[in-house]
Amino acid sequence: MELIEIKSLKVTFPTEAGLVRSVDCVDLQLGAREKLGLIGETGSGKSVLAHATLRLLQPDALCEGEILYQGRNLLDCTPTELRRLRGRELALIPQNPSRALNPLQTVGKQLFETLRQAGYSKKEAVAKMPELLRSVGAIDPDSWAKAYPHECSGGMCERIVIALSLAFSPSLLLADEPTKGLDSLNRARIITLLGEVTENRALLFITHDLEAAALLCTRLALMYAGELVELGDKAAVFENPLHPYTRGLLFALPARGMQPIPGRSPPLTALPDGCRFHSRCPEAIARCRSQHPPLFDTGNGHFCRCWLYV
Amino acid sequence: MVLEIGNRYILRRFFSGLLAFLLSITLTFFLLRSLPGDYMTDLLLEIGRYAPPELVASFKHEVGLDLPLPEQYLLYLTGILKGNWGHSFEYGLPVFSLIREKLYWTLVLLLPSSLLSAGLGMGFGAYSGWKNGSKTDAFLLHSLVFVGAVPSYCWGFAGLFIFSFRLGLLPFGGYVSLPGTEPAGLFRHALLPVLTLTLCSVPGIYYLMRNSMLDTLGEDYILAARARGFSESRILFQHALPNSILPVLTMTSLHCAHMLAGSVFIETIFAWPGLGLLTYSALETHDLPLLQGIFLVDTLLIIIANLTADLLYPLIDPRIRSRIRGE
Amino acid sequence: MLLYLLVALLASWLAPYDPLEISGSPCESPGPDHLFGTNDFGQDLFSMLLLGSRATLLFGFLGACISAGLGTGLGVFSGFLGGRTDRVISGTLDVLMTIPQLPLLLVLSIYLRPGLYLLCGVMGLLGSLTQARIIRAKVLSLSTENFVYAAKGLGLSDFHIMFRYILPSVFPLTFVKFLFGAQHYMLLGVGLSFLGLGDPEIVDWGQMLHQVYSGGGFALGLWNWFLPPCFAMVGLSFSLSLLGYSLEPWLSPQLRHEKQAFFECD
Repeated sequence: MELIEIKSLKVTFPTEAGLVRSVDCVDLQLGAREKLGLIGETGSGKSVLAHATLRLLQPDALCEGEILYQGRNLLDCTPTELRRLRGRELALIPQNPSRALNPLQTVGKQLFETLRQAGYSKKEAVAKMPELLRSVGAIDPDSWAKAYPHECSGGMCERIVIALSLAFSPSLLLADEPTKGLDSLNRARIITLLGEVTENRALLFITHDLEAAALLCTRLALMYAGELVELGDKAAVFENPLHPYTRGLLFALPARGMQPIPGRSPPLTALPDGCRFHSRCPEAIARCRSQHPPLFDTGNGHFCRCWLYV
Repeated sequence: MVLEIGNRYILRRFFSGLLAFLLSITLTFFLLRSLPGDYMTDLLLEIGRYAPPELVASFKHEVGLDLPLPEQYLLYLTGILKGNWGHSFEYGLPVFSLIREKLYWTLVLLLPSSLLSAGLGMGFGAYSGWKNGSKTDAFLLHSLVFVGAVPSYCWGFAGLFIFSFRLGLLPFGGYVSLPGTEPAGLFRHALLPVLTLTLCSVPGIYYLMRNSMLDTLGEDYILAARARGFSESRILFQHALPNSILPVLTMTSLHCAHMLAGSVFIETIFAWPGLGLLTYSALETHDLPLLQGIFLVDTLLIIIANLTADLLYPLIDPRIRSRIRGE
Repeated sequence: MLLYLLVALLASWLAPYDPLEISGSPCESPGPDHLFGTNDFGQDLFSMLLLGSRATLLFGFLGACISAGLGTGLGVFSGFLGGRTDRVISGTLDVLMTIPQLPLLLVLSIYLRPGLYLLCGVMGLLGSLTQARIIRAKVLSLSTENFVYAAKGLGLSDFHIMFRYILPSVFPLTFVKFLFGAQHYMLLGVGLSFLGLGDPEIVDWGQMLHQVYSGGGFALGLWNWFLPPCFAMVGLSFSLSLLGYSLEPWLSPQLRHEKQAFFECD
């Protein structure tokens, strides 16, 4: 059985400018120990998807569809049930790690609280702390524990945030742009670290960094303007990208010529008719303008939302 | 702990407070001098009418009025620092001791209402921000905006009208500090003014606290704590509350200091024998030295409130602590 | 809310049915002749109330105009020019702001009496300190924005940028501050004349309250004497603050933290 199954998930936010359709009919499955990269640009709905999975969205957000975790629909869970699942089963590595730590408490205190939350006794928590910090690459765990978040560098914060999410040993880790804002050296380290710590668990790796996703994940999912546009094995997506958007992203990589995709993604309050990418698509045909394409199965678990593959 | 903060920080804060105080002193000095005619024309006119000119001259000499201006200023300055704040026109008593006596009674009102309004304002504000969008929040917000829009003297009148006149429950004010007044009488007299003062300063603190709480709740660490499955009460008390109180701290302490100035209205209405009523009577009799003395006390109190907040900050916020250490 | 203001303004022209001269017997109860009765001199309270609104409103708006105008000018200047000018101005502001305003006003009132309007000018001047600080913060954040850089890049003069680019973006903030300022100064003005600092020639609501207070109206429970000005104050002040709050959401959040300045106990 799949570990987590997202079925036609829709997330909308009412705003003054109109309904924002952040996530639109997304279907995703993730098996135990599977590593999936969720790729998209800012505002494509990938972070919202992660937050929706943990039910962390603000109260006015409307979620439709199903998010099944081990067969249980998270959208129907009571707050208490959710609290038991959060952290313990599904852990989030939030964006902006330096802001995801309480600035008034030392790292050690926050780790301690989290370990206590995870069910350790006080003694066990104190004993477990250095071990946990070492596992995320701290050479001197004691000095890390004594530090306040503002005294930590970006890479250090990222590691601490990862340590916090590992305190429970969850079965699924949702990493929300963990390589954002890090220099290339730290980025590589964090990717390696994420690979190590998710050896025995599933990972949903949310990023706009195609290369990082390629290093870590076995499958890739691409999101554009709130919906999935392509989903497939890493090798298939990289060697045989189907969707023009995916091709655009790949050509925008430094190694492949660094050609940016022209135009910008449509506002989520006023999505165009037809394919959401058609105005930027070099291969658009008449049908793309009028008809919204479904997700086509092109075989071997490779899906694409494009009229070119009818 | 305080030593750890570093003395330079305290010193700098202290210095800037001192500067403001000096400025106030200078201001009062020049106001005194620029009074139409001479230093104590009002007083000297009275005396001068009957007294021989030599006596006036000797009086002037005694007060130092025959000295050049810079020396007069220096004299005035040292006088202030030594506690010689001049004499009241009206009472003929030293301003300093007059204020000291009245300040005690004002503090009897001010301390409980400061504590009450800080507690209530922060409590309501935090609750309102935490439950943002709920009915309680909307109710609190609207009613406290209303309370804040009503001037303090109107609340004073309303209190008097309802509790003293209509219900006859509480006295009309006019508390007299007899030696050995029983605490019950003091309580009965002080209740309305304290409540009025509190009522008037709660909305400001409330509004700040609510906004601060809303800002804090939008922070990533709150989201992260939720994602780790912490209970709501733990998130509130461990993460949201400490962080949202921080920016409100200075304002709250200043607020309490400003209540001293605001007490002019309240004490006048309730005839409370404190600094505020003294201000009122000084205004009625044009008692300039007394007014200036009160002004200086107010300035001092605000400086002290500022300093307290400045010193509290590094104790709570490690970021400020290390910024200070880095200096 | 605005309607209230308009009515108050117009009423002072249209409705005074008695001047402030003695028009009846002292301490009359409310009746058809005198809507709210009379005071201890026999002056009609209703027309005092209507006439008083003029002075009170004028006082509030004059004070707010001065503080908003001056504060905005100073803030824009200081924030935009930066450098030494900014350091001198904001340093001075910091020190000056420590000085409590109400007691200072009271001290100064000895000199300025009975000029309530002069006092109002001084009040505006003091209020402009806070205003300048808020505007300065706003301008500082604006200065780093691209359109200002672009304007600089185009070689426009500093003054041109200040008036054409910065001032319009700061204006909403100034306007809201103006509303809160007007509320604050009205309350303060009434408060000051309640303390007996007003001009005895000009009727305003504070004056009425002062008369109640010194005439012993409370102990006698003459509600018709002190309740009308109180309610008039409350209504006016509440409508102004509602207006201010309703405009606030489309403003920058920084305003919120500085708002307290107008929440001082009057």
